[in-house]
Amino acid sequence: MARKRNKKPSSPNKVASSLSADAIQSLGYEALAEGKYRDAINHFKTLAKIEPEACWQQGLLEAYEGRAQVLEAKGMLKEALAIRENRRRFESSPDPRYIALLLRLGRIPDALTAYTALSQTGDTRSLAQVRSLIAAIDLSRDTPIEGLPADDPVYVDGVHARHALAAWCRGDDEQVAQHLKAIPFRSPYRDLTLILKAMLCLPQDCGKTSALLDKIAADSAFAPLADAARLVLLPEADFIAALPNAGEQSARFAMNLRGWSPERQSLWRELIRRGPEPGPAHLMDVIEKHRQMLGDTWANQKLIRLIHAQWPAKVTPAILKALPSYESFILKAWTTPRFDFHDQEDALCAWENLINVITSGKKPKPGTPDALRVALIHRHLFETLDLSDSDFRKAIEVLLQKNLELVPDEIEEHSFLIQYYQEKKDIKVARRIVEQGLARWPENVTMLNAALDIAIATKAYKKAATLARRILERDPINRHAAQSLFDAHLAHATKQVKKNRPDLAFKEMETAIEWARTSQDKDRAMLMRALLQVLNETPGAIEEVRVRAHRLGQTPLASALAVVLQGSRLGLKTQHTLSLVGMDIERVPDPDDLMRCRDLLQDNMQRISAQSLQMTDILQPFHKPLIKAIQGPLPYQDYECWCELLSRTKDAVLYLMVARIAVDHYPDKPLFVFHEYRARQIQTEIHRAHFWLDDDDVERLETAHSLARSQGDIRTAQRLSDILDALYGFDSSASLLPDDIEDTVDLMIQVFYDHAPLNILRQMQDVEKRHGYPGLVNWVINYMAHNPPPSWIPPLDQLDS
Amino acid sequence: MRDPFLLLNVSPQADDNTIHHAYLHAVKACPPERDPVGFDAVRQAYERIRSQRQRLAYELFDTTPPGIQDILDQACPVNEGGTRRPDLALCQALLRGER
Repeated sequence: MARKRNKKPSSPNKVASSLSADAIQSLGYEALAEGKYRDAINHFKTLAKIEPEACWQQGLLEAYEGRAQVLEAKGMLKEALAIRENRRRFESSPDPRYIALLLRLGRIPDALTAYTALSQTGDTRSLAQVRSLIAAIDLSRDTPIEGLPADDPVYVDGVHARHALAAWCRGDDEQVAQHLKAIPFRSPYRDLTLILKAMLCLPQDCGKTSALLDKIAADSAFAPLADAARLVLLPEADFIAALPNAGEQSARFAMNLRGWSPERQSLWRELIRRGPEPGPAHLMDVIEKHRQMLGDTWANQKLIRLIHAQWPAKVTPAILKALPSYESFILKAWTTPRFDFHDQEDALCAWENLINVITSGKKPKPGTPDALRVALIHRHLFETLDLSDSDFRKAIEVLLQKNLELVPDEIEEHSFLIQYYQEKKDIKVARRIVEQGLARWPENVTMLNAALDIAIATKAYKKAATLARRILERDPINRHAAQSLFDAHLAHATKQVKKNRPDLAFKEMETAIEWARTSQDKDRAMLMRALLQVLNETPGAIEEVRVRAHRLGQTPLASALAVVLQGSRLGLKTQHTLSLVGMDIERVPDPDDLMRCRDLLQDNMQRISAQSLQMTDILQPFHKPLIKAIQGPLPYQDYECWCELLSRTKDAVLYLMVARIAVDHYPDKPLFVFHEYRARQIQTEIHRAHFWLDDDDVERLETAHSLARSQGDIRTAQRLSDILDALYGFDSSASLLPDDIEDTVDLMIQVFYDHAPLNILRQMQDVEKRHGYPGLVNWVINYMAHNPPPSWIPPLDQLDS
Repeated sequence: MRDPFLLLNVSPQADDNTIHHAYLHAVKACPPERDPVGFDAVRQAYERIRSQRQRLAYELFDTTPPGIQDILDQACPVNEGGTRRPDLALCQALLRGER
């Protein structure tokens, strides 16, 4: 093997010797600035041979200092000392850093000689620094440093400092305090006194400890002790994380002070043997090794979690075999994948196996921990499995209903199932469970609330009112109950009106007024009552309607709207209501009136949601004045609010008109393209018609989608993306094809595939690949609509054959 | 996330009442205004095991693996207030700059 040759770099001296003094000086300072201290030393040494001291001495001193610091940082203390000794030859008094290095190297007599020389200079600052260094070294020895003058503060205060430190280590805090008192404020041991005082506050007053330690500078002679003490203040997790980098002595010091037993310290060393953040495999080894100390149950439970963390890598059959049955079945259940339907069955099977282990194959005794374990697994299955398959969902529902028998005292199971069936609109089952729950917990507000919701959902308003009263007796500030009670009485009143029992309706309205929690609710109820009085030809009723309507609407059109909305609850048609109270809505509303109308509709949305499909009828007479005002132009935000509101009212006619006006005014805003599409879609849904889109529509949606993305309008982009996905066949809910011509189109596609030229076939394959079969259907229809009949399609008679 | 039983210093067999008391005790040691991180950890631990239902759910479904601190606390817990003063030699080593 060829031996590597060390090529010696050419000496900067040789290069510099041929240069002028100024050039060499410049080179020296350049090297200094670049941190090339060795080169700088050589340059200034060269200069020393030809120039007086003033030209090179400062530079050389700086170069020596830099080099010494580099060597000290590398731990090359002897080499650093040689450099500092060179530097020392040019100094009038010894540098504290030189003395510090002598002390670190244990050359105490030399350090004391330098200290004596420094004492004679009167440099008090350097002297204090050096005294502190000597003080720390003095304390670090079993016997005091010899040779210090009897009146030297290091010697004088050292006696008390030594006793104080020893007493603290023994735990004799009284002695510590006494000796610390004897140490004067400006002592070389000042930092030690602060550290000891800080540590005396532990563990009770960590704040004071921290404040005292903050007074110790990073370059203090006592800094290593202070740093180790600071570790103790860290929270346990941070402490454990900091320990590996703290150094052996500091770590031991801090661990002891935190009360870590030798066993804990030893276990910690074992845990971090392979690095400060050991992986699961190493933790498993440690747990296995110390199983006895950790306890079998705990060890097994943690082992399965560690196995799961690295599953399936590095898991051997031997590890799994060593696990007890219960833990091994839990692990199996955790690790059974569930990516598709078949995997789901595997997952269900894995959890059922665990249930068998828990119950030993028998029915668990209701209310026992095992029964609760089984119930929890049932809930877990419901929450984690995909229940889109109806049979699968039914199977899980059966398990959930079993939970009521397994844990009859768990109100949580009842509440969960009630809510589940309510959301599923299976009120019958929900009511059965509520009744069971109420029989068990008749005073429970959660159960009463659930019963109230069901009563309202089933239009049992009288029952709802009774339940709300029961809730309010137990929980007087229950807003939901108070609101429900108000709504229930009002709804019951409506029911009585429809039964032609105005007497009972008035009674219900009075009660509703009593329970109204807001002035608006009260006005609504009173307006409704006044309308009923108008129907009964009560004198002064029309005036009362106007007063209440004005309180609710405040502006002319909004007041009329308020009357109409309440009238609709009594089953009155809009025009009838308006003529009954003599209200005119022909005038075009001003911006304030328009805004009030919008606010009023917004406020009423909660209450009119059930009637949403009738909203077109209710609002129809308002279309003309509203549209005239909305024609605007209005600010973008106003159109946005109107569109969002109308999308919920399902008044598709008004919605579509407003969306089109908005598109005209703001053609670059994709949001209104979306609303226009939605309005058309809702309109066709209401009329149960098929929603046809042409190429231009799709193109507009695609352009709007791109625009929304480029404008950063994420919500609109997502809404449009959902529409486009549905159109392209990612979602079957938005087919472009009426059922009755589906067969014809299927046949057409078959003809295309059989007879189309290659370029058309390629396009078809591409479309089908990207957008599925529905996308292909759309493409074929568009092709036929926009092209002359293709010549390659055979005559009809041949097709039939 | 820490083992909630170890963090609250209660046995896995402890009842609701014991766990509640342990929680109150732990909160006193790290009130939210002084130690928000510690308080949050204590609160989360309590929420995970406050009732038998939650304790069993933790046993069955929580897959959080243990960390160094969990193993240390389970094997050799630190006694509260049980600080031990380091010996003089250790202090002297630090004073010599031996970290």
